[in-house]
Amino acid sequence: MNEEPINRASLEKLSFSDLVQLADEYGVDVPEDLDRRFLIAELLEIAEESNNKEEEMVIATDNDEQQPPVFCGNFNETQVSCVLRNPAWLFVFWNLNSNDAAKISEDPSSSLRLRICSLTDPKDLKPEEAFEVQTPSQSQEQYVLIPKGKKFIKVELISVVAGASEVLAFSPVIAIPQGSSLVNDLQPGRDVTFSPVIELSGMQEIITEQYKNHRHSFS
Amino acid sequence: MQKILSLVIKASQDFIRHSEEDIKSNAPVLNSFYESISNIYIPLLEMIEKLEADNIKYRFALVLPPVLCNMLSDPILQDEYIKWLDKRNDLGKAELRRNKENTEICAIINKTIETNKKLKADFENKYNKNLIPVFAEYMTKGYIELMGTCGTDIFMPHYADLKEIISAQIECGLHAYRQYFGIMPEGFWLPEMGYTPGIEKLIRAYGYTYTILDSRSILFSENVPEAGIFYPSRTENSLVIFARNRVIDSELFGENGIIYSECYRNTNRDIGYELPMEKLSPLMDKDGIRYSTGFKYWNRCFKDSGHLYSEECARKQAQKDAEAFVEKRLNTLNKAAELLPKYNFVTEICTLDISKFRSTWSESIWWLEEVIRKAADAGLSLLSCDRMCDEQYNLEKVEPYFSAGIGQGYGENLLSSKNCWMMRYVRKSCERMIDLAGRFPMDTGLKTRLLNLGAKELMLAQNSNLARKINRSEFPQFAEKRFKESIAAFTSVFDSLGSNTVSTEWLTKLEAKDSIFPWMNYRIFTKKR
Repeated sequence: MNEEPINRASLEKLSFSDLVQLADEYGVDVPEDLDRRFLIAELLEIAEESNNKEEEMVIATDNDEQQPPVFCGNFNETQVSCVLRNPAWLFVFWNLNSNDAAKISEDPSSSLRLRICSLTDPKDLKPEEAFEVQTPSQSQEQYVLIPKGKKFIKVELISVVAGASEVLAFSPVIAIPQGSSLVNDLQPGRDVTFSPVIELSGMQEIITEQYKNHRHSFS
Repeated sequence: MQKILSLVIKASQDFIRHSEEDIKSNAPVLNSFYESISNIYIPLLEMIEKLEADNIKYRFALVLPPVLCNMLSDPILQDEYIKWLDKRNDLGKAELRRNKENTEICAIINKTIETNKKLKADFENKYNKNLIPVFAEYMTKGYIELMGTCGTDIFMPHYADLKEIISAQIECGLHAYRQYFGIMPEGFWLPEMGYTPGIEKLIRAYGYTYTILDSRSILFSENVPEAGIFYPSRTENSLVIFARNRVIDSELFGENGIIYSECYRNTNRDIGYELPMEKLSPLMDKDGIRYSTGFKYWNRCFKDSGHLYSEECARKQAQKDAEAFVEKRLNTLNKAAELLPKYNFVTEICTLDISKFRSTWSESIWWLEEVIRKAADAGLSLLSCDRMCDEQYNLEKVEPYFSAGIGQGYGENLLSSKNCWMMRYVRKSCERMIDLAGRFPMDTGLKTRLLNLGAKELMLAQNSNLARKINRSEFPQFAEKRFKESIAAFTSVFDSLGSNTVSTEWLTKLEAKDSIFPWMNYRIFTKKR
């Protein structure tokens, strides 16, 4: 096994044959037509799996004095935001100001949760339904699966300190795309008839692709 | 009935800092930019010229984003391109010496050197170093429709709740288009075809007539139009919608796509990736990362440890592939015409991504030229979408579905575990920019300069290509650095305005480095009342 630390900077300098040799040392089978970019990505993944943290260190030094403290991922402001990753998954991210962060860290039994509220109208104050998700520790972001058939979603950031829960922040209301019933009702072998023009437009290919990529999310 | 093949060619370009101190560190990404000039933009202009000479009737749409127009018009980069061609040929001369025993390889090297010499001569003498006026000329002659787009390639669904941000991007793109080409475009290219309900109102508000969506947006809408993807439809506010046929992309670039034909040049086997660094010194820094040199001797056949590339064979293959491609389009359009007898035309929209052409398919422009020639021979009309909007207010109405032309249909690759960290910074900067535009509505002098710089930096950070590059591991260091530079600059602007202090040296230096959108007016981010 190669003893040199593996990171992107060092791999980008290697010739293709050196990369293949290194991949061989790591037991990676390299197809003849493999793109250099994929080979580097594969080797980095292996390095990461082997707990080699060099890559991150190099990235940090790359940004030297130009990188201001803003990249700590916080703005000393308690806020929760969300963006649709696709019609079934929501990407939620949040920040805590120093007071809120201190309150939570002082109490070992405290926790931070996301409450996913579905609304029938974007102006509704009370949710039609809601469920809570425990946030992962040390993280400020999470992907959340959106319950099927909802029209509007709002996310609340909740702290639970000494048994009492408090809404720290809430996101703007997000409209969930409403499309054809087909999107939400994909079933293998389901007999659906389309007009010949719609067939010719590639409907079957798109449904197959949708089923292949999203069956666990959309149905 | 008229059967229309509508080709839409989309270029993309990230802004690359190119001040004296940046040129060396950004050499790998600048290399890609110069390769685009050599392999795509100049050959595309030559193709148009040849087709014009042969009196072929055609019109296709071209998307030249503002960042690309800015870089192609930049005198520093124009001169650097010429130097880059010279350096490539210096490397070529060294390659001739290294391969002197192999006449076949020497022939390929000589061909590459000659091509570079011709590119240099044409760039300097025929195009006066600036390709933009040449594209504008062909637009005036009617061979190309130049579509408008955003200031940078923002993925709109991620900003659906920040309407000021989307409006500012559309306005910036429109302004750039007027600056470079002097007219108001009819068609709006939606970056990554990223559509979410509501953005049609913002696009239409700027006077655009049509846009193009992925077929999924139409086929997954609640009421699918009767003519499917073969005829335009319109949104509630009469923005005309065309649907690209997404299947075509996989025919070209998919697992068994035609670009993988054995005769075509193997774009991965470049000496830049194979030789020891010291032998590449005319072109690249021995301590830097490797990149392509243009000296690629092998085709895509891997039998018997590879076969040498033959241009003649590749040209024949491009002709064959173009013929098969046109045949497929003709069959589809004939079937559609039979099924839709009441309609006056049927169309198939084919979107082609230049960045894929550049990086994976050396023969792409030969193929494209053959497609145009063969389509014209086969009786297909080659038209751009602006010529199909006559019935704008009578088209069937549709409520398109959220969709994108990338990722797994929804742009998921722009919000993956590798790049989702970017979202919190860029969204926070968006909120701050809207706030600043409202707080400083009538300011002048240094504050205006600061705010305009902040507006530019925010737009550069919103470029979705950066997230895509990080996800694809394509120059991820550059993409991350570029993003962080812009966010850091924006944050400094925000802090300076908050503390009411500014370093003019810092401001002037950054204005020179990020020399894009010189007309920027930060008030485009103001909340519309």
